[in-house]
Amino acid sequence: MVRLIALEGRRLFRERVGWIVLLVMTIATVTAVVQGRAALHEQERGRAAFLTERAEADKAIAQQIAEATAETAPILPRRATLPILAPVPRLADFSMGRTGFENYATTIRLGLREDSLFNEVRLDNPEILARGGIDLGFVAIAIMPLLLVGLGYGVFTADRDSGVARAALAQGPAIRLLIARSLPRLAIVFAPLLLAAGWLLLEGPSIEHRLISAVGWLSVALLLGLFWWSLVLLVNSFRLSAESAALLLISVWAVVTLILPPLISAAAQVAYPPPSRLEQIAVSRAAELAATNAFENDHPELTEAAAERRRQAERAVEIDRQAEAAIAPISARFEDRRARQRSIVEMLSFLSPTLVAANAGSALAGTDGGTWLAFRSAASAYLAESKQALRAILLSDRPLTLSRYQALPSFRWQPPVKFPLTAFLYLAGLTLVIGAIAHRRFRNIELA
Amino acid sequence: MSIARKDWLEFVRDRRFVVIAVMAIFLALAALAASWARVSAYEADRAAAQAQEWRTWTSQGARNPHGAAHFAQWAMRPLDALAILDPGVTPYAGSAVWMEAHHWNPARARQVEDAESGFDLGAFSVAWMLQMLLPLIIFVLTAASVARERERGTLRLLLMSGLSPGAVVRGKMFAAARVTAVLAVPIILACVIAVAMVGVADPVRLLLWCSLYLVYAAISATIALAVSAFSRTGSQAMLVLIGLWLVFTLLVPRVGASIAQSAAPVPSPALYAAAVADDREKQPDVFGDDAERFTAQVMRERGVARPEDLTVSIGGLQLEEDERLGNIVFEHHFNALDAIYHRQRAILRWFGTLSPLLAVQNLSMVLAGTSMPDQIAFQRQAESHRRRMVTYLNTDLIENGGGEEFDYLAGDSLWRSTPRFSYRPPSVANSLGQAAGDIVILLTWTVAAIALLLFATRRFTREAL
Repeated sequence: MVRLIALEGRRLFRERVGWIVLLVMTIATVTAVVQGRAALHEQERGRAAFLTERAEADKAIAQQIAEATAETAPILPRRATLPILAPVPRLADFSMGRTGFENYATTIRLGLREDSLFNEVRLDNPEILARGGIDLGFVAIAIMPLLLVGLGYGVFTADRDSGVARAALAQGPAIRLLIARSLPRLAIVFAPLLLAAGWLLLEGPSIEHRLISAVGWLSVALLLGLFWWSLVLLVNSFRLSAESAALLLISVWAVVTLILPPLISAAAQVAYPPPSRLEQIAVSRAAELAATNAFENDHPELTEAAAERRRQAERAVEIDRQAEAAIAPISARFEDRRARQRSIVEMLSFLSPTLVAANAGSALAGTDGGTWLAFRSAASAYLAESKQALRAILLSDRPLTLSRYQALPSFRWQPPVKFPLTAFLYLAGLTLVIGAIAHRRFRNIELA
Repeated sequence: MSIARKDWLEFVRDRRFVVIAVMAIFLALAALAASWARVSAYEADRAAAQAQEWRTWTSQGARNPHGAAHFAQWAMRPLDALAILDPGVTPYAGSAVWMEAHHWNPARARQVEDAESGFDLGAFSVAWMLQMLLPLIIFVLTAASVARERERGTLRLLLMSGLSPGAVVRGKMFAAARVTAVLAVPIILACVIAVAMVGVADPVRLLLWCSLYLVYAAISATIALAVSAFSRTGSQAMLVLIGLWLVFTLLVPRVGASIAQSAAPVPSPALYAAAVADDREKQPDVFGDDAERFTAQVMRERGVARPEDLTVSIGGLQLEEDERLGNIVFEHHFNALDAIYHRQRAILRWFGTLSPLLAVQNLSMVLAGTSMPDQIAFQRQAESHRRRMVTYLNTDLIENGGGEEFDYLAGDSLWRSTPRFSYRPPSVANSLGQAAGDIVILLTWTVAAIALLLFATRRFTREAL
């Protein structure tokens, strides 16, 4: 068996297709590793810059507290700001997912509402975002299956085309032949992926649950590869020419990888249109105006009388509360529509194994929509909690001291670690079923 | 012509071609329907939100003009009818700008943040379909065109029958053109009808957009034919073409984007905000340390000896001066950001020499009015409007708020007379001027594809000899 595998491997490289696939896979994985590391460093740098900014803001507010007078003390709670920062996703270098455009940090203060919590927009070039990037997830999900098709479309059909199929099967059991032909091909594709993942793990930062997530991520990627290989073997078991087998496999790849994911996304958006941010902006502002109902001074520091400042602080809190109450149903409707859209995308994603694997990979990486939604929910809850604390200080007779400022609640959130068992079982089940059918068909060919 | 007729007959008899053609047209129609629904819903939302926004603005009641400048207005970006063909950068770019006092805000409300999608290789649209799927289909259908003749041994027979290699290639070319036309023309016609149904579109832009994709289809067909002419077997030609498609559509644009991003990195929001804040702090503070100097200068200019003799609002003048100073800093930082975007685009454009898709994408977005230069034009116009609006409000405070300062309240008439934002898209000539490099690259690809085919034809001559 080992000699047969070695023979098949030599034949593969003698025909040059092995070298070409290995070269393409190596270039793709090296690019993915470089880009993955760059993306991870960018995330780390951004967070470091945010923390530096925060340290300066803390120093500034501490100075203002120390220098506060009877006139300036009442407005200090309105000047206090608190940070919200999501930790670096566990495997942002494996699957970038939504890290390219989601906000991972924001600063909250009194007067900020849930609908404008993440208003500090990231400045990335939309032109670059529209093109997408290359990460290991992209290699595993889009490129690897196409290379497997290139390596395997003629694994048996080529023998049939050249009239040596019977002779090949006469050498021994079909399963032996298929294993011998499959292993070198799978090794050519899987080896660069495994090496790249290992390199990223060794070079990457130490993040909680990173190793276990990477193991899960690799399991999903390899399962997807095996699913495609079982499909390749099934198509090879049909009475087709190598050219027709290639055409059929490429068509399946195009439908499953290229067409279905954006089609599902578009269908979900038509069925449950994404909530309108523009409507939310307009309605929120109308509600805010209705709550304000009179002139609100946006520069409390320019008002000199302490009593007037106190009155304005009370008024600001009241306006904020009324606006929050008015906007709450709008935000609830907004979240409801988003949740419905999310559930339909999740349901329809089972039409495409590619999508299932991609979702599972980004969930393990902590860069999927669900993780960002959990972060946003945690941020909203923290906003409510800290505003309550700041309001209590603002409306009390006690000034904001350094100890009170430091005792304000801080944001602590860790992305949930959930192994995507459904996706794993779905991919494994599909692979086993298709592989079993292919095996049965080859047995029939062998017996015939 | 007999070769073209024979090939065409083979295509028609091959059920795979019929199935693929029907599926492609069906997908294009689905993409058009989805885009139509998306753009119509967006435009309806925008019109309603903009109208409500104006109602809110004009019904503020009694308020200090500077309080109103803080409440401010929103500019919402309209989409042209051609946006149903190519969404371009719009899903990733902010669609609304808050035009508030003291701040030049970047655009917010990016559609991509609110769309649930797992893995996709682009927004589902007819442009995506023509950019990604059309070349794949052309490659798959025409891969065996010449190679199969060689594989069966009929190529030698054709050449021995007195046909020149050029005539064989011309015949194959006609057949490929017919196949491409059957695929592309119904899709493009559907696009024209859909655009006409959505609204009024610039016919020149639409015509150029349709021509662009016909050129792209022609480049794809020519490359496919040349590769087929070089290949020994049909399956070898198909594998090479699929490899080329992988490189052209999936690898090069993404590698280009990644390299552009690494070579010209965009600052993080925190760093950007910190840099702006630092520069603002270096400027005179007309409300703080420089207040006295500023008041003295105003008194000198107005010929009064005491601040209380001023008939205008000193607070209003301070605000206007603060805006002027702030705008210098914002202008500097936004120009620097634009320069980074320009650099990234220039780097990305170089990758157009490795794949015709990048030039096609750039031109398609430009013609659909959904390109990055269009987005920047929107943001710049919003900023110009912000300055006009804030100055208008400050002027009212300056002229009418003397003595009362921040206690002065303006009424509805001021809000109603405030200038309204309206976006004027760049002209076709302006847009195409920005994409001149892409036009050159696409022309180069056209010439290179023809040259490759001619080179393959010379190979026939050698075979004939």
